[in-house]
Amino acid sequence: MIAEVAPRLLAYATGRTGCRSTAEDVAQDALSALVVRWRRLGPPESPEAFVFAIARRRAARAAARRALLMPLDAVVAIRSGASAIDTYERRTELREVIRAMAHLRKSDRDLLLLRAAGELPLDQIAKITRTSVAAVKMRLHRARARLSQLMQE
Amino acid sequence: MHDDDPSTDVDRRLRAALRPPEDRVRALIAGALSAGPDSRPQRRRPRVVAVAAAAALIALAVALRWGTAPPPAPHRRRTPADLEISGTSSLIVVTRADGSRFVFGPSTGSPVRGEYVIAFPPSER
Repeated sequence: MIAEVAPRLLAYATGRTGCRSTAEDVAQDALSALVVRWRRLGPPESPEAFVFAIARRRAARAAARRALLMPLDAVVAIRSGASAIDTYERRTELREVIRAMAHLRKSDRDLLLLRAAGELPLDQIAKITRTSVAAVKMRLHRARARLSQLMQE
Repeated sequence: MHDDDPSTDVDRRLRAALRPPEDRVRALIAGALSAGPDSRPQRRRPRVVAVAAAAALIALAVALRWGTAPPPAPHRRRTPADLEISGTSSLIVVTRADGSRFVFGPSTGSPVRGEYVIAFPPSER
């Protein structure tokens, strides 16, 4: 379960914080919390909702701290072990996506990341964000339309 | 994601851009699985110690404050007055606890010589 959720969690945290190294800290914290909870009290009702809810809180804190120090898209870590061209392309793409997402509403950006990067089902997203499934769907639709428009500009 | 919200191009592009490197994922998994049961409480320990120290300080201050405060005055029981004073026209009557009475009044001048003064003995209750 950990191996399955880890890449999605890391992708989500990267989108939230705009920084790979901060995202790794956030994802590490959330996954460690899940492992500790699992060992002490058994699995939570929904391990995915548990771990993403923690990552969401930690990412919000980390992003707020980081915003005080540097612009959101100033730092994108270089992918280790990849070719220079691949790294450059990925970094450029990531920078563009992050820049476009910065124009979305914070809550819409969060929903889109939970859905696209976290690959969570709608009911889990509704649970994490404490809203209804219908509201999640509506806001996802709006966020996608806006992001699509921003990416074409 | 098996619900009625199919993945769109935006989702796929977002996912591709945010996809983490394999080696970072492996490191993340290894780090998470090595998290011991004491990993989180250790990080919170300084805060717990600070709160406990503050609580102890407050308790000490309260104890010192109560320790130096003057002891509460002992409750004094009211005892019935030994004397009861009452008055009738120009006379003042003082009654003692044992029932004896003293009557005081204005002087009526020197008694005429050859006459007597009648003294009343204390009345019995």
